[in-house]
Amino acid sequence: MKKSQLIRTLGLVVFIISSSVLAHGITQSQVEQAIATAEKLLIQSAQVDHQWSTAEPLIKQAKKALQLKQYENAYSFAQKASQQSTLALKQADTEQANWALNLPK
Amino acid sequence: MKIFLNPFVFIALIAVTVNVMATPEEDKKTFQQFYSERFSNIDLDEFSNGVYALDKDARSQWEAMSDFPPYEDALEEGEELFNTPFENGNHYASCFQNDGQNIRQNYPLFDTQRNTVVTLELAINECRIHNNEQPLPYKKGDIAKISAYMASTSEGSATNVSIPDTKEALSAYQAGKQFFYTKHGQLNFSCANCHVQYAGRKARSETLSTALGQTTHFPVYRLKWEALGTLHRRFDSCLINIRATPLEAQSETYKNLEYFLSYMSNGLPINGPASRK
Ligand code: HEC
Repeated sequence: MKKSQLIRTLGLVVFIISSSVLAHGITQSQVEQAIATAEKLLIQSAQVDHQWSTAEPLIKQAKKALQLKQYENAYSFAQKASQQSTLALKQADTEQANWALNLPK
Repeated sequence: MKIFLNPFVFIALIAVTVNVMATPEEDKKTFQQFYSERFSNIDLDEFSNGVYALDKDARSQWEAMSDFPPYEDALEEGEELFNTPFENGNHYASCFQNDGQNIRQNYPLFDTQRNTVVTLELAINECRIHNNEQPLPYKKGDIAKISAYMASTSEGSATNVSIPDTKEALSAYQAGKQFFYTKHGQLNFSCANCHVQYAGRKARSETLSTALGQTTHFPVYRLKWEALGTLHRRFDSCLINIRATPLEAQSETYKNLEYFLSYMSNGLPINGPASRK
């Protein structure tokens, strides 16, 4: 295969993949899944008294976008919500070991 | 494991371990000593005045207001509510020691039957339920007024929170202590970061009060709330500020936090209700 041919073939592959993603984008069920995950993480963070107030509004925004069938938006909000709660859980975890460093000396 | 061989790390670890395992009494001593060393010109009792013990300018404004304190009407209503009989003819007084007079300083207490912390507001609602009345909402309104009245009958009495020598009481205290020193919220702050380490410094335009004395004057009339609010309502505000979701009023965690904080202020005079910004 010549170099130019290779580039053309690769370009075609990239074009096909990207256009299929754009055409189908994120599906409704992917969004629903992402929201379910975000909600699960939110509850987990609350169970250890570490819920961040930034997470729930993002879930609300995700649900609103889902209703409007704006799946990309909805998905991205849900993922951000999950990120916040994942960080909150991580905070709970590290603090379990580190809280005593804040004691007055 | 090499890190443990480093003598400095080893000593630091021991120091931390000692504080983690310290008895409540030892904790209280270290805690109060920390503030009296940092603010050596301030009498211990003065810490009951919160931020106004530290910030002279704010204090003169506050004192000017104290001739006609904004909680005056609410306090009177609280007294009336306290003395109004329930439908069954009983009074709040029947639920409390000494008819509910001059007892604020003993709260929160630890109930060794149920193994849980009982705050004054919880006791007020349990009194209502016991007398077939609906419980009141916990953060503001009538419960804050009744609590304010009861606090006023303890004016000047020294905070006297006790921790029974049981595993459960100690672990409630420990849980409150751990929450206080644990970082929360997206901003990753612990209560101690602001009210221990940064006490006396400014956060935005506000001077940060010492955690010592924070419980002596509740419920508080906040100008921002335009009403009296309970201590748990105030916990909410601080958690919201660091982008943490507040907890339920009277949740185990808040009760334990109140238990720890109040114990740290043992010996300081009760001076509630009070007004704050
Ligand atoms: C980012 C800093 C910050 C953090 C973290 C913080 N607070 Fe505060 N807190 C404030 C400020 C500012 C005020 C108002 C000024 C003052 O009284 O200190 C305040 C006021 C209070 C008061 C009222 C004091 C009074 O005299 O009426 C209480 C009680 C309190 N905080 C408890 C807590 C607890 C418990 C936590 C942890 C859950 C906490 N705070 C975390 C900043 C903070």
